[in-house]
Amino acid sequence: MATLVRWRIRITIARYRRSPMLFIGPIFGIGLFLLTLWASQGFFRVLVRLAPSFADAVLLLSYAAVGVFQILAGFRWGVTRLFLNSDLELLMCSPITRRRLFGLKILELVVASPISILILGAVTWGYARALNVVAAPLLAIVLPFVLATIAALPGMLVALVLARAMIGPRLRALIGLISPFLPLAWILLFGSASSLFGRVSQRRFDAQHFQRLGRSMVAAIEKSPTSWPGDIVRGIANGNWTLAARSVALVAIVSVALLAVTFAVFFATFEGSWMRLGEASSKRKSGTLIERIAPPIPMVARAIVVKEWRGFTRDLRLLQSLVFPVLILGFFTVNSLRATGSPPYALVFFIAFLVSNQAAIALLMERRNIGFLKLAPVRGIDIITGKVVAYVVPTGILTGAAVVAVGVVRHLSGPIIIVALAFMLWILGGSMLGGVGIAALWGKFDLERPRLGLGPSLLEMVVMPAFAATQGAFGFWIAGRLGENVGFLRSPVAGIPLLVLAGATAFVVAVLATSGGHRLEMFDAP
Amino acid sequence: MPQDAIRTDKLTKTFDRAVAVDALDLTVNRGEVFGFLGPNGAGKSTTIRMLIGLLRPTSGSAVVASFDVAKQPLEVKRRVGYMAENPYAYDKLTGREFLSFVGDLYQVPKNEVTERGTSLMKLLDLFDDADKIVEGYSRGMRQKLGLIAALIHEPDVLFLDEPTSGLDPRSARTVKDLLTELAHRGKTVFMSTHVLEIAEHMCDRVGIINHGQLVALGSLAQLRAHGRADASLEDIFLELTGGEDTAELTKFLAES
Repeated sequence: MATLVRWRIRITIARYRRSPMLFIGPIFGIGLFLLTLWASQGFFRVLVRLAPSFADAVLLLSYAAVGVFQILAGFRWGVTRLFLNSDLELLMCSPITRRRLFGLKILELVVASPISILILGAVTWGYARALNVVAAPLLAIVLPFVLATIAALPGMLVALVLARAMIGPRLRALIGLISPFLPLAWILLFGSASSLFGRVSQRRFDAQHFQRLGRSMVAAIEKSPTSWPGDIVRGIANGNWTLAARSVALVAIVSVALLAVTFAVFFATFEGSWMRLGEASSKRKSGTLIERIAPPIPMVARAIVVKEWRGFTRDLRLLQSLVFPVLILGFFTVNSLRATGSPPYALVFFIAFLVSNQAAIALLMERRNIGFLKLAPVRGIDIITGKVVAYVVPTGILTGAAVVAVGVVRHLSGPIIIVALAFMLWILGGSMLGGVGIAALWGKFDLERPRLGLGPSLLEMVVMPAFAATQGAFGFWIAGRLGENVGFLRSPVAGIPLLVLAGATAFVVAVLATSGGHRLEMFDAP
Repeated sequence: MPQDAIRTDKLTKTFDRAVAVDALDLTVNRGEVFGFLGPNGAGKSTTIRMLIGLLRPTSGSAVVASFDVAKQPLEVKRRVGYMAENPYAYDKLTGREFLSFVGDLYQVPKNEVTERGTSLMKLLDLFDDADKIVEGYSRGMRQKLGLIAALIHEPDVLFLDEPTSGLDPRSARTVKDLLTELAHRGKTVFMSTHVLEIAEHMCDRVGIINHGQLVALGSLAQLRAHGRADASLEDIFLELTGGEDTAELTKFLAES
């Protein structure tokens, strides 16, 4: 077991050395932890004084939120670490007992949850310190560690059961589908938490209201496992040893029971599930529908479009990457329309960056198959065109429908809606073209995670939003000429400078795309 | 088409400071089955990858199917087929869709792709699996699909990296017969292999490369003329590339 763990650590270090970009995650996590640790103590001191019930509720909610995240993460890590990882074949061939293998995977699961453990640690620390518990450091280490681990076990159980019923490709697709929601869950959690932190630190909240709210929240879920950490801390703080001991016993019993059940299911199913993972996908008809509906562009680019679209129908990860930015855009648009009556114009910068990444990542996902494309009598620009069209059409249809819907809701005139639609498609296409150009120029095709192989992100962050902003501004100017109220952009003299700026950024995008195409023809394929 | 299907002139490739291929001068005739042999890391795959345009030569030049690889890459690619040792494939496409995709890349009319693809898949026992997702293919099936993809546009020159690797004996035999037949029809087959028995029986000529340099070139008879008359290709190969020292091997076995 110790040898396995040592080698796992060595392999991880080697991976980090090879891709320094991977350090971003841990650095971000440590920074976040230090920040939370620093803020937590002061936050809870104020909260315990003003609304103690709400302080209890915050601790409870933190464990609940991280618990939900851990269940998802446990499922994800259960599937990848127990079934899809390439080391499994080696481990299964080696004279390692299944018990040790399970132990190793549980350990990996714990190591894989540092952010959860650190966040809970910081929250528990702040709460325990605010209640003047001497053993705060010990509680801040043990409770998060144990509860984050047992929260992940149900997810792992689901993974074990699903792996019994599904073949490898389907499991992989499922993982790809839920993976983006994990960071999204963090973003929402931190968004809500930081807003609460801000209000508490500036005492901009109604203490009585929050006290009532906290009391009702605690009452609603007081019997759940997420209330145990609070009970333990409060029990120790108030000298209520019965409460503390009962909660510790409950944690221990549930931990042992969950471990035992997971281990039993693992022992009963793992070997059989793992062995049938490699089974071929079911036969499917080589359909012609996609070929028929693909746009009439040059044959080579069209072939790439058809290939990509076939992937959408068979790989949920691709479909999700396509729909995800549109969902974000839709969510913020609806929110913004409700709150201010106008669409979230600033979001265009974010979308331009996000959208420009879509086709770029699709290009890098070719990995060694880029050599296959280079083998054929194909121009680099055809490859780029194919990738862009493959993503522009579905994204354009979705966002186009959204633009028309917003236009109708806001009672805009027909010509204005048409101008908005045209510029939206133009910005979408241009952003993707520039993104693919950057990826083709500087991207790496030999990385396990294509996202890390993108070209200089800073350039993309500057060029694509600049392109979107200048094209958008020119679009608004045209809308102004058509009678729409667009503020200072309505001035007739603004047209020429705006056109020059829009032309300049469009020129940069064109240069990126053609240079990228040239590089695809010239570079040494991996 | 001139007699030479492939001609290299001082073709060189260096990676950082390591010389992978060192001033290679090589000529392969049209309609020839040429075996390119060498130990691991000798420069075989690098040479092939330069000839098909996947790598840029550091210096020197290469002409394939009468076109300069560096100056007229698209003309070369139209006339060349390549099967890598680990063939290229798109996991989410079915075998049939993959061939259709390849046909489109090479701008081959649809009906020709269907006709040629079907007959090749039947020949290589892949027809029943044509509508399965490539993800579920075995190594041998991927190898067959890679070969069919390399042949779908009827190339003049075929580059193959370990063509029978992963194939069962029956399929390997079919592939060998197919390649021989293609050569009879005037196609050039340039293959790299470690299976010396294949090279011995199939190839009109062989070239042996070691440390990036061509150390032998000719028919088996020509190579034998420089050593023992009864030497096998394996003997010649080991002699030229510094084979296993029997005394050392015996010592190792005795010690272990």
